[in-house]
Amino acid sequence: MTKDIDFRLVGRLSVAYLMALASAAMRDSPLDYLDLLIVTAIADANNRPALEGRRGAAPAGVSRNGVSRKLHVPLETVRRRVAALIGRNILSDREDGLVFLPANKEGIGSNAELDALNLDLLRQLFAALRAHGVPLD
Amino acid sequence: MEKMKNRRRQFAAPEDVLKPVLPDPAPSPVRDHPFSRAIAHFVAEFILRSAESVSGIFEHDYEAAILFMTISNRNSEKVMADPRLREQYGSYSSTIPPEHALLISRMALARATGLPRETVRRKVQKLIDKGWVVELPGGLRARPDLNRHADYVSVLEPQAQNLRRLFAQLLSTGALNA
Repeated sequence: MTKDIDFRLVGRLSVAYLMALASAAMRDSPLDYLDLLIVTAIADANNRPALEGRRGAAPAGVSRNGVSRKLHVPLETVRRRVAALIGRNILSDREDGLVFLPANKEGIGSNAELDALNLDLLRQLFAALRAHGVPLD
Repeated sequence: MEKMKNRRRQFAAPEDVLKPVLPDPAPSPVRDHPFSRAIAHFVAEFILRSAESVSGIFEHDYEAAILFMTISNRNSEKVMADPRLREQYGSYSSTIPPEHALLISRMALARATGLPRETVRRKVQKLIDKGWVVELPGGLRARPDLNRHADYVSVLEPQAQNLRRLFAQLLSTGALNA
C-alpha cells in the first residue's frame, strides 16, 4: 500500500493545509503556535462527552498534566501558557480541569470566518489529494 | 495558612462556562452545519496527531518543527506547482535538483511563521546543527537526502493514514459536499 502513495505530495499538501490554518488563526491573535496547540488539545478533550453522544453534557475538563503528556511539553511550560490563556479568557479553570471558552474576544473559536476558511481549505486538500490519486476512503 | 489559602486556584462554576458572554452571532452556514462540532473535533484530532508524529523527531520543539516544515514546503513549491515537475519529482524516491528547489531566507521564515527573528535564527541553527537543514548561498534548504533518513520517513508514513482517517470522518458528516 505504502508503495503506491506519493508521500512527498501527501506531506506537502497536508503541511500546507496546517500552515494555512495556523497562519489564519494567528493573524489577528496574540497567540503563538504552542498556545494554539494547547488550546486545540484542551478543546479536543472538552468535546469528548458531546461526541460520545451525551447530549447536553458539560465539556469535560482536562488537567495541566494531561495537556503536558498529550503534547510532550514540560509541565512548567504548560502551567505558564495556561495561566496566560486564562488571563485572556480563552480558557477557564474548573474543578475538573481546564475548559476552552469559544466565546472569547481573541477570535479563537466561534470564529465564523476562520471556520469557513477551514472548511474551504479541507475541501481543497481533499480535491487535490483525490486528483493525484491518493486513496482517501 | 492564610497565604496558602490565597494561593488556591479559583474555579469557575460549570454552569457559568455554558453561559454565552458574547451576543448571538449572525447565522453562519459553517457554524450552523449539523456536524460543525464534530468537524472541528476531527480537525483538532488530525492536528494533534500530525503534531505528535512530526514533533517527536524534533524533541517536541514545535517551533523547530514549524520552521522545518516551512523550509521544506518552500523548497518543493515550484515542483509541486508544475504538473510536469511534479510527475518527475513528486515522490521522495527522487531528489529535487538545485535549479528547481526554491530556497528561503531567515527573514522570510520569520514573516511566514510569525515567529520573532531571534527565535528563527536560534532554531534554524539548531536544525543546521542537527543536519536537517543546509545553508546555501541563496538561503536555506532541507537536506536533500533526508528521504533516506529512517526517522524522517517514519514520520511521513503515518501522515497518509492520518489524512485518510480525517477524510473518512469528514465524509461521514457530509462536510465535504460543496
